[in-house]
Amino acid sequence: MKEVLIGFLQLFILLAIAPFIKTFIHKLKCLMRGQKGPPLTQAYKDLYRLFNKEVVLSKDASFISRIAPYMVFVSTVWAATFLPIINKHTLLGFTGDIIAMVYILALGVFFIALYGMDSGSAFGGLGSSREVTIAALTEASFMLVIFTFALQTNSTNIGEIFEKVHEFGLTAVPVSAAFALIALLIVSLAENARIPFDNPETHLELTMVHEAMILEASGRHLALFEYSSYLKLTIFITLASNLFFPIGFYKDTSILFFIIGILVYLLKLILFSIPVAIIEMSMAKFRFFRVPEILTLGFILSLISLIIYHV
Amino acid sequence: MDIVEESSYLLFFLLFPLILSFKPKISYLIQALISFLFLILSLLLINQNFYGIFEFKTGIDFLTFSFKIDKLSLFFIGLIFLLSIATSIFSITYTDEFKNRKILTAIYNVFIISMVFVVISNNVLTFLTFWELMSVLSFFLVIFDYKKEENLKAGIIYLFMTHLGTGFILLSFILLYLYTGSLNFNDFHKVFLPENIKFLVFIFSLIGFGAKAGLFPLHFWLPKAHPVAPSNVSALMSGVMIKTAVYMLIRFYFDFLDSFPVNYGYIVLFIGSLTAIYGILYAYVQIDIKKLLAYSSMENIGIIFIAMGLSLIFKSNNISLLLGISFIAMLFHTLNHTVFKGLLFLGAGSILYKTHTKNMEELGGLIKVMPKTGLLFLIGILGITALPPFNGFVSEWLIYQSLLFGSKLNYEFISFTIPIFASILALTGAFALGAFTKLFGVSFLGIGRTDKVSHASEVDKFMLLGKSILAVLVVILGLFPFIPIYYLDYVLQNICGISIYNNIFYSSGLLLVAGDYDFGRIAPFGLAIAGILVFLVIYFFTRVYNAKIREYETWACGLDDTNLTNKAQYSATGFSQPIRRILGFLYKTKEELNFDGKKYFLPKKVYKINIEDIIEYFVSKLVWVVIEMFLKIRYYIQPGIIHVYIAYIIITLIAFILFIVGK
Repeated sequence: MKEVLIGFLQLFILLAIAPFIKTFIHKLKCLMRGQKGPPLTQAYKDLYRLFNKEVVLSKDASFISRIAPYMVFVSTVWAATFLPIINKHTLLGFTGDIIAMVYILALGVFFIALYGMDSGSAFGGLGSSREVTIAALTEASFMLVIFTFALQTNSTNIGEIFEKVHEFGLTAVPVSAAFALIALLIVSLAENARIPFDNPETHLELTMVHEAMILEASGRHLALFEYSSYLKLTIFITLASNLFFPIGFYKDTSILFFIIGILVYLLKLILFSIPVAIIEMSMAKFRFFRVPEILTLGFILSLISLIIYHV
Repeated sequence: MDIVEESSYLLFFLLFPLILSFKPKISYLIQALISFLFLILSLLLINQNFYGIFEFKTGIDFLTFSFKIDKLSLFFIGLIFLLSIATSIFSITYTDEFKNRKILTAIYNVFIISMVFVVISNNVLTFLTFWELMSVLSFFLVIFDYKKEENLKAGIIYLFMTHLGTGFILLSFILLYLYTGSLNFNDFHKVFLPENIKFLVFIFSLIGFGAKAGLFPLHFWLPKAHPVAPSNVSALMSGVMIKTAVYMLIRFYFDFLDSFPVNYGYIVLFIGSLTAIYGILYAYVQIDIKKLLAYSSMENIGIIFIAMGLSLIFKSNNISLLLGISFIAMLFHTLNHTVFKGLLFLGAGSILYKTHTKNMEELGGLIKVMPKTGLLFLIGILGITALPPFNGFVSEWLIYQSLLFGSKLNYEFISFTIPIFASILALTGAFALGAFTKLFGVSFLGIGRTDKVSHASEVDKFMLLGKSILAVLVVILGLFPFIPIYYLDYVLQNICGISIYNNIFYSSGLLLVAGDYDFGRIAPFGLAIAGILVFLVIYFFTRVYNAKIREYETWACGLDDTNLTNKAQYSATGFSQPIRRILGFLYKTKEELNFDGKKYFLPKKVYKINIEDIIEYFVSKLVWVVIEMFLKIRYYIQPGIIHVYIAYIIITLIAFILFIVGK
């Protein structure tokens, strides 16, 4: 019973913190640019506002458009249900491991890409095509990073991986971890449609990827898409922070450890969001056909990390 | 043995549909019924530890038809009949518009019989007889629409390649015969061979059966031949015919060859992963639905061979638990591929039946005119792209786990490189996702691109039923993987003498890998329940909260309805353009842009793109070089100059005189 409660708590934390992280990164960028930036509650307000608006569907859209927002959101929540953040007892930890998580996130990509093509607009197809291309090229390096940790910890269960990483620390294979970190950073930026792969702030620019697919979305559909993208970003940051900053993941389930765990987790999230903001500030978006180059870099880094681990 | 002998007469039931071929509808119906009965029978027999050998002696001395039914062959029989149920029901109305329906029905029925007999053959001659029968019949089915030149070309390449394969199969059988003095498969069991001969048998069988299965680089006939056959036959060819090659390779490597070094498995693993990635990269750029599916068959065969290579590696190392897991992963993926590829080919058949085109660029918006077919097709796609919680995911997950175990082995080179194969598998999965997003997105979603779509309508109930059976299986095999694995475990006991069912399951029936090699666990059923719950909660919450939906035209930068034509939407060619450009070195692309008449004022542009298989390109180049060489030699011998011929005559004369004198 306690485990179920812990599971719910972790899921709740993830769901609650996700919009904050998005706004936090945005605010940070604004501050660095010398702008005032939105209040930190902006994403919550956005979601609330969108949920209240009516949905406008294209008359050419099929039932795919009606279910895709929900499928995308469900797949992201699914992934969140077995991502431990402070304790290995997750809500659905028994139903899937880290490989399942990768594939479940792919389910979201599949439906969002279909959504893009559903209304027959040129933007949607463009976005879908690019999203699928980027996803295809990222998947291999993502899997290699995962394999590095699965082999280190003898498990593909995310809870086990986190626990063992926290137990042994990264001192055993520091170089391998460094390479894996950079590879995971590249993968996360690509998967979450951030600069240099895609610009989350623009609309109506022919270079957009993620935003192009959901251009037709409105009202609660758009809210679900937005919420899933916040959640996905948070999932990746959680993954990175728990793998590469092994503090605050306790076996102990007493209240005190929980409070410490949550505080440390929040700190870690903020810490790992800062590089994302800095990268977005200091770089321009890449031309689409230069994206494969940096993805190849990610792949090679993850390969090196795996090989170094073996040596 | 008597019971076995008598029960073998059950196989004569297979002749019923053949005899009734002059009434195609009844024939297909009976075929479906009989297939269903045989499927149940083979499942029961697997459960009962059935093992039987029966022989038919003929007047000729050495020609004895010998058959053996064990659990491996029962599994493959089950596979054939499983797909046959669906395709036969589908064919009842699908074959309506074919001209020579009766002939098609007859060939279709014999084709199924020949596949069944290939799987139960127990000596070389029986096997070769039915193997040839299967190949030749499938050749006839490929060229069934013989008036199209494309089909004839594909058929001839297919016939050539399949006989090339049979030649290598023959070579490996000859080697086995030389060392056993027998043609009976039973005598090949764990035969002792010298190392180098063993390697030859291994390589020859891999080439021979690989040519049938569509292994890289002997694959190029497959994407040509499978799409041009009638769709019900394409489903059978992609779904089970290429699996007979997998079956025979399992016989060779797990039954005939006793023990072999670890690099045999590595070779299979390597070729398998090459096949997988090559297949899916080409599937990604196709615009012909059936061609895309054929290339994706190649990909899946590659994945099956990855699992086979892993199980061979584990077999050489005598790690029985891991051997079991990868062996089951291999057979599970074989089963899964049969189910979803059958479903997708039947779906493509439905599209072809209603729109008379399989070119994605002429389709679009089909989901509005064929909603049921669209939904079934979507389920097939969710299966083939290995998305949880559908069936493809479970088998690919098992293969991922086997790969992880493989990199724990004590061979430095293997443990070093196996993660790369895992990343290739991930890459393959991701490209499959892209390829099928494109397939579904372009042909089913959006606005119809030609009139063909607006004239289409939903297919009738037989065609829907045939697909529904397979669609239900996609879901069931995914949600309850312990049902197929329960049966596959019997096959494993039969072939490898081990059972791992208890090792990979919780007591509550969830899938898990445990024991000394604890890696991870999944429970697709729990996952699905959770997903549905979350879906319903969110759906009803948002609907109750705010259910307003308004329909309006698609936004197109302010252009109104009259200006927005269907040409504005993304095309299949455009969808795959980024990959075509990024991985340009892989494709042999020919692009052409023609201006029709006027060049500057509102010209009518015609864009043509042709993507050729690069291996096919090289092979045809090579063939051309060889032929040219021969022609050059011929040219020197026979230049058409009269002096040379006179010289020949004189030389011959002198040679004769010398010969006589010398005597």
